[in-house]
Amino acid sequence: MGTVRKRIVLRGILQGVGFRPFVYRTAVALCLTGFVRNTSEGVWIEVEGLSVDAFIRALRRDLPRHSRIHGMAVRRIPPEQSRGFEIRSSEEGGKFNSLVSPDIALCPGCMKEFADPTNRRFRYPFITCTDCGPRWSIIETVPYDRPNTTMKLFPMCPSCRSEYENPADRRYHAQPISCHECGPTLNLADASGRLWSRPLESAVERLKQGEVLAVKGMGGYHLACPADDDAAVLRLRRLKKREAKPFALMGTLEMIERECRLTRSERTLLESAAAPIVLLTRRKDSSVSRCVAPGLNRIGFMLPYTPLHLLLIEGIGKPLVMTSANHSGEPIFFADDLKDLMKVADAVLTHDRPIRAFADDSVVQIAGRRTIFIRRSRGFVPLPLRMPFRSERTVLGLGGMLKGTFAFLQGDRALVSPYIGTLDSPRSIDAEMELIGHFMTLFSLSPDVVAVDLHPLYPNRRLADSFAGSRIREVQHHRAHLAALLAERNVRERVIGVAMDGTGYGEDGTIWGGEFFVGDFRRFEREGNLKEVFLPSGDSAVREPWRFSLSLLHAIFGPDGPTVTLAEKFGKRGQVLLEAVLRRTGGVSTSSCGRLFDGVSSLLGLGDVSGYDGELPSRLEALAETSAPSRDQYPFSIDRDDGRLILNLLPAVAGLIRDNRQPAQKARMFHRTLAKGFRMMAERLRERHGIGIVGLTGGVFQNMLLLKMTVRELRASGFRILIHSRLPANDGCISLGQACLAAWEERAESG
Amino acid sequence: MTQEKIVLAHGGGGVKTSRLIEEVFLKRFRDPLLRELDDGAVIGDRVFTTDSFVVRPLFFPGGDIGKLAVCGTVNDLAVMGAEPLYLSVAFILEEGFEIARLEQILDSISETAAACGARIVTGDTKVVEKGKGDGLYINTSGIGRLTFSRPVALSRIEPGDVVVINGPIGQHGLAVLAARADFGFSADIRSDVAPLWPFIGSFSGVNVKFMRDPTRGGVAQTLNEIVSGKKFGIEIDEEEIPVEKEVRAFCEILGFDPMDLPNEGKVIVVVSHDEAPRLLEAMHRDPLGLAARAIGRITGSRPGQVILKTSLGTDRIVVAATGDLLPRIC
Repeated sequence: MGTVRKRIVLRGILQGVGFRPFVYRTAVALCLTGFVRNTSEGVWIEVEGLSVDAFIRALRRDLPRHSRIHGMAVRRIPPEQSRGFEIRSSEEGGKFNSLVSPDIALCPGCMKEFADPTNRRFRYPFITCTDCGPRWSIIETVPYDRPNTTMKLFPMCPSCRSEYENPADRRYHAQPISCHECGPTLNLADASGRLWSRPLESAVERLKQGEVLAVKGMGGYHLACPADDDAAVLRLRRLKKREAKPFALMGTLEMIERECRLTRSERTLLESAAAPIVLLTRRKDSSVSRCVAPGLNRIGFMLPYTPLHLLLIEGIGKPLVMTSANHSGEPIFFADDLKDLMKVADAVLTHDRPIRAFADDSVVQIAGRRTIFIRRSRGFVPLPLRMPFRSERTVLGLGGMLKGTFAFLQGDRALVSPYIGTLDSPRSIDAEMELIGHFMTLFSLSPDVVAVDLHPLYPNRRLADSFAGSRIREVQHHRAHLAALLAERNVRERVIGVAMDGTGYGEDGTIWGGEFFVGDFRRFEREGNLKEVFLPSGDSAVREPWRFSLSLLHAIFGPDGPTVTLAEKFGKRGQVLLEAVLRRTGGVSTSSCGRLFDGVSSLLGLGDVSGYDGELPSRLEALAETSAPSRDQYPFSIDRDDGRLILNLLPAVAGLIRDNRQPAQKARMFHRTLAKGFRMMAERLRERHGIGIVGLTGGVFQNMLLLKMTVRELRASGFRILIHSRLPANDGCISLGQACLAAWEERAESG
Repeated sequence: MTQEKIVLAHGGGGVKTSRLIEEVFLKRFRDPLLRELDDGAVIGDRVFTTDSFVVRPLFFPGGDIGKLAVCGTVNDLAVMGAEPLYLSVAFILEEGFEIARLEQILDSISETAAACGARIVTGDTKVVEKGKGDGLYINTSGIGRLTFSRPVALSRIEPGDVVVINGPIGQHGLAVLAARADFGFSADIRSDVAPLWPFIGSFSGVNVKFMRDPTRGGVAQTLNEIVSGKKFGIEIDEEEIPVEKEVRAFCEILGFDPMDLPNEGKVIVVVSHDEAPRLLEAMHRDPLGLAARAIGRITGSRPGQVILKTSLGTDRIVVAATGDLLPRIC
C-alpha cells in the first residue's frame, strides 16, 4: 500500500449545502492532499495519500445534512505529489449535472447566534450558513457561487470574507453570507411613498393595529395580519379577493402548541429543513380567528423559517396569518413592485436582496405515518425525482389548469416546478413560461417533446408552440394522474388505478373524474368509472354545487318530488336549470367523483355555492369526522356498460336523502360507502386481470378520511396500495404524469 | 387525421373546424384565393361567397331559416366591405314538407333580400326521401361589389386600433337554443338575425381596417381568429361588452358565456383610434348600431392572445369555445 490518487466525480445535491467544506475537513483529517471544485458536471474531487478509500467511505457515511449523492464515479489516476488540500474556485461552462439545492429553513446553529447578544449577527434578519438560507430562490445560473446569485449585489465586509474563505468556518463558501455591516437592508414602505425608520419595529406596530402587511419572505411576498383579529383577517380576504379558502399561519412551536394538537411526526415535519405548512387539528379553545379557515377543523401552520419571520413573530408575540401575496389563483408576488403590492397590503416590509425565482410555501399533512403533499413547492423544488425508467427524450409536461406546475423529464430524472397558480390568467401563463426558461438555463434542458392536457380549453396549451422543433403530445388528465403516481412510487408493474378527481376532459368528449384503469406506463385501459350524471351549465355548476345536486336528484327521482322541491328553492333559476337538465341541454355528462362529493355536500346542507375548489367536500369531511365510527353504509351497485364496470353510487345518494340520521353520521356513511365501492371495483378488476396492486390518485384523495377508509378496505382485501408520497394527489402532479406518458409514447413509436 | 370520423364538433366553427379545413380541405383545394380563408373570395372589385343553413328549429323568435340564409351570405359580403348584389338560393326539401311552411320561408327570404337591395337571380330545388332531410336545408351564394374606400384586411390592423361592436351579443344563440329545447323562457329572447347591409355601407367612408361577423363560436372565437398567429393581441373590457339583461340572466343560469354564443346581426369592427368616434357616430344613426360601442383595443404586448379585463379587475385569457359546455375547473 503506497500513495494513491483518485478522481471522484459526484452528482447530486452538493452545492450550497456545505459539501465542499465537509470534503475539505474530511480530507485534512485523513492527511490527504488534492483539491475539490464545483463544476457544472458535479463536484470534482482529487485526493492523494494513504487512506483514499477511507475518505470515500467517509463521504458516504458522514454526508452533510442537506446533501444527497445521486451518482459517484471513481477513477484511479497517477499521483502528483500534491501538497495540502485546497478548495478551488468553480469552473464555468460544461454540461450541467449537479443540481440546485432547495431553500432551507433557518438552522439551529444560526438560531443560536441570532439569539446571542454577544454574537456579531445578533438579531440579524439575513443570518445564514452553509446549512441554511436561500438557495433556489436566489440562484441565477450555475454553478452555485456568489456571483451567480442575487447576493452578488452585496460585497462582503472583511469579517464576512474571512469567514467565507476559512475552510474551518461554518460559513466557509456560504454564498448568501452577510452581516449587519454588509448585507441587505430592511425597509418599510407604505402608500405615502416614504420609507419608515426602524422598519421592523414599525411593521410590528402596524400589525398590532390590525393593518395588512406584505412581507418579503424566501420565495415571494406574504400578506400578514394577526391571526386572532377577525376584522384584519376579513380585510385580508377582501384585499386578496379570496372569500373562504383557508389562510396559512405562522408561529413558534410554543404558539402552535397552544392553538393545535400536535403529534410527534407533525412536529418533526414543522421543524424539517423544508419548513412546510402543516395541516394540524385545531384546539377547541384556539384563539385563531374562525375567519381563517371557515367550517374546517384543521388549520395550516408553519414555523418562522427565515430570521426576518422570527423577528416579526417575536415582535408581535402571537401567530400571524401568512398567506402568499397575490390575487387568488395568480402567482405569488416576488418582484419588488411596491405599487402592485400596495394594491393588496397597507404597507410593505421588504429588503433589497432580489428573489430570482418564486416558490410558494409547501403544504403537507400527516395521515397515519405518512406525509401527504397538498402542495410541493418551497423547500422541495428543485429536488429531482428518480423515475422507474429512462427517457431518451427530454420531455416537458405543461400541467393542467388548476394547481399548475410543469415538469421536465430527462434520463431517469424528473424535475417538477414549484406551484404556479391557476393557469387561466395572463400573469400565470407568463410566470409559467418565464420559469420554464429559468429551468432550461439552470439545468441545460431543451424539450424534444411537449405534453399538454387533452382539454381543448386549457389556456396553457398554446405555450407548447413556443418550443421550436419539439413535438406536441396530448395526454388525458386522469391517465396523467395515474402515471405520476407510478412514477413517483417507482412502479413499473401493471396496476389497478383509481383516479377520483374533479374535472378532466375525457377521450370521449365527456368530463371524467371517477375512473378505474388497468395497466402500466405503456397503456392504461379504462376498465370502469362512476356512473355518469349530466352536469348542467359547465363551470357554473362547479362554483355552485346546488346545480349538480339538482341533476343528481333528477337522475334518482326523475322530474318529481325532491327534484322539484330543490328547483323551487332557487325560483326561476331553478326552473330554467331543471329544464336544461330534463332536456340535457347546455351541459355534458360526467363521471366525476369531485362533483358527486359537491352534490352530496350541498344536499346535506353544507352550502349551495363553493368559495374555493373543494370547499364543500372539505366541510363534508370535517363534518364526517365529528361522527363516531360505525359499520353502517348505503347501498350501491356495480353494473356493466360497453365492457366497462360502472360503479353506481346513486342508490347511496338516494339512501342518504331518505335517511333521518344526523348529518354527521350520514356524511361518515357516505365516505364509507365510497371506500366499499372502490374496494369492490378493485376486487372485480383483480378477478378479471389478476392484478393485486391498487394505486389511488386524484384530488378527491386529499380527503384524509376517505383515503384512510379506502386504504383500510383495500388492505383488508389483501391489495398492495400505492398512494402519493412525494407529489400531491391533486392536479399539481399531472405535469409529471404528462411527461411520463409522452415519453412512453415516444418510446413505443421509436420501437 | 384520416382515421378520424366526422363529428358534430367539426361543424361547430371551433378548433376542430379549423383543423378539418386546414388538414383535409386545403390539402386538396389549392387555389390562392381560397387560401386567404376569408369570408369570401375577392375577384377584382367583386366578392363571391357561399353558406349553407341547417338550423333547427326552422322558426325561432326573431326569425327563421329563410331570413338566416339571406343574412348569412349578405353579412359575409358586407364584412368584406362589399355591397350585396346578386344571390342564389338552393333548397334541399324533405318529402312531406308542408308547402305552406315553405311559402312562409320563401316570403322571409324575399323580404330580407329586398331590405338590403340584393337580387335573387338563380336557384335550385332537390327533394330527398322522407327521413333523409330534416325538413329543409338551404344554401345561398352571393356576389357583391367592394365599396369601401380602403381595403378591409387583417394585415392593416396595428396596436392602438380600437375594437367596436354594433350591439348586444348572444341573442341568436340563446334564442335558437331555447326554441330548440322548448324552454319555458323561449319567448323572452329574440334572435338578432338581420342583414348588415346597408348598415355597414353607411360607414364605408371611415378608415375601417377589418370587419368580421361573430357568428358560430361567438365573439370569443372571432377575436381569437383575428389575433391568431399575429404580432398583436386584443384586450377587451368586460364591462363594455353590451349584453341584454335577459341574455345575461339566462347565460348566468345556464352557465354560458355570452362571448361564446352565435350572433347573426353583429359585426366586430377594428378601426384606427382616431376614426373610432366617427365610426361610432355613423353606427349610432342606424337602428342596427344604436347600442354600438368600443369594447377593447389592439395591443402589442400579448401577441396572439385575447385578454379579458374582468369587472373584478383581474385579467383572464379568452379561448375559443368548442361548442360543448365544458367545465375546466375542479
